[in-house]
Amino acid sequence: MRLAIQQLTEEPGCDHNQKKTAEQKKEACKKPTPGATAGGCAFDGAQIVLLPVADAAHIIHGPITCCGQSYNNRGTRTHVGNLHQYGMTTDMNELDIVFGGEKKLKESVRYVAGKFKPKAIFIYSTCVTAMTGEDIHTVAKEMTEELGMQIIPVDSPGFSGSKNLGNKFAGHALFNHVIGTREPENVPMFPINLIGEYNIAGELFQVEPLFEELGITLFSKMTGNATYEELCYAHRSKLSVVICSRALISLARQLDEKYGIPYFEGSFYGMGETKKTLMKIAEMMGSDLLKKKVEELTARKEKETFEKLAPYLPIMKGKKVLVYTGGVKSWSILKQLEEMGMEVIKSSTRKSTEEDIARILEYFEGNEDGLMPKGDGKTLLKYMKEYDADLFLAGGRNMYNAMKGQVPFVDVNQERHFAFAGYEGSLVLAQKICGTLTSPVFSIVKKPAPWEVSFG
Amino acid sequence: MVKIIEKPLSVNPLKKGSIMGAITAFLGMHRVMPLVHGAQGCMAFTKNFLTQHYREVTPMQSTAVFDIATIIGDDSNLHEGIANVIDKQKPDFIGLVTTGMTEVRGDDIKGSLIRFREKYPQYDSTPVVPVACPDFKGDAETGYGAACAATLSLLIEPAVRTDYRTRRMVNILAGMHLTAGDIDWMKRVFEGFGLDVIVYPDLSASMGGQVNHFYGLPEEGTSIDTIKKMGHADFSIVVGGCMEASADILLERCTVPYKKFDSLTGIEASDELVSWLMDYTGKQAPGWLRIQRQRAVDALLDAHFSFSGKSFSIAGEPDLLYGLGNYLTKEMGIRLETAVTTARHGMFENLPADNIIMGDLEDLEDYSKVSDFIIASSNAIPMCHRAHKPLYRVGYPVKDYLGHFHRTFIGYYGAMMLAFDIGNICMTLDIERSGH
Repeated sequence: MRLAIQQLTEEPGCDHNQKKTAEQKKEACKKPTPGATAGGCAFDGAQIVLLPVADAAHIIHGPITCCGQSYNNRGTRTHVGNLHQYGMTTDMNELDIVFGGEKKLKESVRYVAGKFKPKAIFIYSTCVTAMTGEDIHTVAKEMTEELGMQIIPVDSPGFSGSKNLGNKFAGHALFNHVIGTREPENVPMFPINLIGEYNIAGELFQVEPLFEELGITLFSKMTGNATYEELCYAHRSKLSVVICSRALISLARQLDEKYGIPYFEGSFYGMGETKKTLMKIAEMMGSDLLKKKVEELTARKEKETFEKLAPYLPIMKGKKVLVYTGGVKSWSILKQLEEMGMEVIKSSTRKSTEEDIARILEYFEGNEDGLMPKGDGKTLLKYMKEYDADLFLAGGRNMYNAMKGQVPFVDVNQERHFAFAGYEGSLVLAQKICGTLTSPVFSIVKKPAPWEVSFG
Repeated sequence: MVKIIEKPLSVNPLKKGSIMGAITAFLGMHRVMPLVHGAQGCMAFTKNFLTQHYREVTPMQSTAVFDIATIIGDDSNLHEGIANVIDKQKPDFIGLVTTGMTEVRGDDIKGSLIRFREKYPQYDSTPVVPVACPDFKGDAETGYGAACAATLSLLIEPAVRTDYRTRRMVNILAGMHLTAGDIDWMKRVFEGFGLDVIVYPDLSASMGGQVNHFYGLPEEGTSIDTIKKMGHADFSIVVGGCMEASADILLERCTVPYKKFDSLTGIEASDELVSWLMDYTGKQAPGWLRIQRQRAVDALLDAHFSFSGKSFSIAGEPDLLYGLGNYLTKEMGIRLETAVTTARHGMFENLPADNIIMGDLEDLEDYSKVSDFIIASSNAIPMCHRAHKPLYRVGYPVKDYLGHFHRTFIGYYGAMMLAFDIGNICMTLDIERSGH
């Protein structure tokens, strides 16, 4: 376990690691400060990556909190199955901890295999089961033999690190136990892996038609709207596109090293980035025809979208936005907002890599004032006031901070119900932004109560 | 007879870990910081969960136990976490909630806190209340009760009573199943009988939306000074089994007698409370309360046509389950097919149900085949969707409906509103089934 964590935190493909000294490299990525933390644990991160696989079952081996408090809380959508709506846990009690829970885990696997007939079962270790030394790897191996069904162990004790590290654990499990275990009957002309797109609120559904039109096959989607089977075929793709997740860059690199599949990082936030990503795919596929098709498709889509955006653009023009989100979104959303005529005053760098930060800086033309390394609710609201910002764009956790500050807000993270990807997504984002910007609510809530008004 | 379904795992869990209950209890106290001692996920999941439920800022922190060195166990994360919280947030006190991980590791929290005090005398003025919350034992209500009892036992002052015979001040020990609407109703009734009340903990004030500015610590709940004075009260009222331990502490340490109400939902339970208040104060019930009773009676009469022949199933923590189950079966006359619950405390075993199960939402799904509707939290949405059954939302979490926390489920007013809500569900079914 220790070894695995070290390997994963010393990711050579992760460029902020390349700049570290040998000493720094031994330290795991960003330690949280006790008493001043935000964000989930490694188990959370592993579950985010794998739970969208809805024709596979997911059993969490541990006491109730890990599953009980997270059940029914993901915005992922799928057409493939419904097992992502199921929360399964061995719900370890005191006796299980004293006598060991491996037997219980095996029986759980049998129960789930029999009742739900999944295509595969992922079993996750958690803090408690990792500490008591439960051997999920042996359980997985034995049960795979017994049931003739792939049982995949996922080492994901929460204490090992942040959500980001958990994403890597999930990638590790896919690489070691899933990818390359089956061969596809046919390989299409332009097969690609889409890594790190979880179809939150249906964002994948917004971009899938673009690929269809271009004749590019999303051969192995990791993992939004994915079947278990297609994950096994990932080694037959010609290209990996990593979306919105530096954490899974390690998986893309491993695929490159072992199977010679090149990779790059793209984004579908904003029309510019969408075009860039599609064009890069065409270039890397080495097809001039594809390039031409991308050119045509994106030109047409941009025209259509700007026509649809017309009523919204005047409302958004010149409005100032504070952005607080993680990873790729911290720069790609800036460009999406810029396209729509808005001005970002600050963007968070909390979960961003060196490269992400470089791109954010590029947006701010080198002015480091635009960077926000840390921000609690109070600080963020202070910035809103200081810069006279019109809109706050952040994750659901900040939604009620914004409401306490009585500022217009759009939720751009996990639990939201609206998808902002591709061309369609830009329109949805514009609608949401204008909805909150023009709401009469903000003026009425700022009106003083009758007893607060002084007469004379 | 309580059934335990023989299966090795929990599918679609109903139970929430005890830390969730403990944190909820702390959120009902003024300027406390709940600090979860464990990996950061325990806090992050719970924060997400409660933020969506209350639609409010829910302050809480984690000691972020991280990496192998701390797994072996030392004080550093805990001490650093407490110090950081005090430096940054300056809370009136800290609610220190342990987790399965730190419990399995066998952390000696009391010893560690003593070492903390020795090392950092500058933080002496901020009390730290430790609550053991191993998530492999008990449920959310257990954690809620434990946090309330631990806080009282650390903070109350031994009472020297000077106004013994005024019989004016009453503690309301409010269970986890109560909403802001419920707590408001109780405050009004007790005030109507001329009593002063301390509601402990008071989530209606902190999580009910009345704090209109940004806050880094929960505000307006029961304050530390008020908690200290609870031993001076003349009487305690316990609403819900999970608060009995708190009442016992007040009785044993400060000789405050108490009366326990297992439920205040329905006409009969409300009558019991009002009769008690009349006896205790020697006063008549205020006019508005009488009107509420008359309206509740009328509502039941109007709604009863659609109740007959219906059946339902319910899932929730024991205190929540008992009150609703009792009212719907015994006063509305609706058949209870299955009651699923999470822990063995409270009175739920007395419910007249075909099945009483210690289990999960899969059991609810499997044992509610003839039920016309389901009563449970938002987590039952996927199962109700599959079974095409209406869901009446109660408990934790309710995240897809606005205003749940302001609905009233207790007293005459709650009885009336429930008669309407349940009546509407049944009437809609009748209309649909008659082919209109």
